[in-house]
Amino acid sequence: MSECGRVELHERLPEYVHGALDAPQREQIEAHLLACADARRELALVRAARDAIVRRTPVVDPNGIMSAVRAARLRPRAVPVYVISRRAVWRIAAAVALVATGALGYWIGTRRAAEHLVPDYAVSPVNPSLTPEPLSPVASPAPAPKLAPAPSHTPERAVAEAPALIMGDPNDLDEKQVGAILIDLEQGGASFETEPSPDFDFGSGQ
Amino acid sequence: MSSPSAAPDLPADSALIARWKTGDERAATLLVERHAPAVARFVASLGVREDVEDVVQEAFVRAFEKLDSFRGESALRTWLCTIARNLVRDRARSLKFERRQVAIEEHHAVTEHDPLDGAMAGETEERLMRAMDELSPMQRQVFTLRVAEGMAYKEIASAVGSTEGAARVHYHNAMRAIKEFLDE
Repeated sequence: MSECGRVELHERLPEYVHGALDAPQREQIEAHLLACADARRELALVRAARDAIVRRTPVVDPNGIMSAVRAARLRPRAVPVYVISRRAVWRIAAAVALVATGALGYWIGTRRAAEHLVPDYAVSPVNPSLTPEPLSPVASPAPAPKLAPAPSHTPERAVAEAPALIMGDPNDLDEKQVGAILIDLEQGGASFETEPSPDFDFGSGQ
Repeated sequence: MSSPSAAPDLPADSALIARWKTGDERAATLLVERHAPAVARFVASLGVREDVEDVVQEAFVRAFEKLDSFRGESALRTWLCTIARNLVRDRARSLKFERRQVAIEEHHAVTEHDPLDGAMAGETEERLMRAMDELSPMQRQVFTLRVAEGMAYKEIASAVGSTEGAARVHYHNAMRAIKEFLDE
């Protein structure tokens, strides 16, 4: 590039033209320029090229750029679009079907179990006080609470007889029995399938 | 080498960026005024002609959108040139843009160096531009950033996607080629 061999000085000429050198470097270049015709020619070429490039480049309008920047800033950001492959769609559909099938099976199973469910204290009384007295017209002439008779483990009988217990008139129970039922209810061991009669007084038991 | 982007009495790019992030639009305007002409010259050196302003505008829009990701490892001008180069590359990939470029190149082959233009700008400048047109694309980009912007080789390498050593070689080859062209 340089005929004088001072390549390191010649290649700094662009920085010299742009005033980007410190004072010692600038003085070094200027001293070399006095002595080297090739450096002077190259300096002239760099300056001419810089001016030509500047002159030939279309002028850009900073206001137009700022308008575009402002508009872009106000523009809501685009929501990224995720492209899902056909295979992924099938996988998702299969997963959804599997979950739905499982949920349906679980629902059916729980419904069937609920149909066959007999309250604990009807099947195996939690509180011995709830054990029904043997139904004997002699031993208990008074109206007895319509509790379920002996434990019945056949589903058909349980379904048929459970309402007899639950649907029975709570007014027929004495205070002790009502208290036991309430304790049992508190502990989650049983539940009323129907609301008790509005005029039933849990406090008095009658 | 000091940064060519700001004179000593003007606020540095980093200070203007910080002000822009706090909502100071004047800071952004100063950044645009400071760097847009240099980015335009670089875009022109990439072979873009009539779309220079569009590319520069889009480069600034993208730059301001992604300013949080600018870590200041290079000069802002270098970063802007990198964004502009990527934009030009992306646009060149679209068939539509390529067709337009071909049409533009043909148009300029006729009008760019017409005698009237040459007489106005001077014969030396005309020959100089012809010599630069003969350079390889990489040589032209490096030569433009070095001569028109006074960029260091390291910054040039970052802007054109090359190495510092390669940028230096490209500049030397470009300078030699131009001298030879002018000596013919």
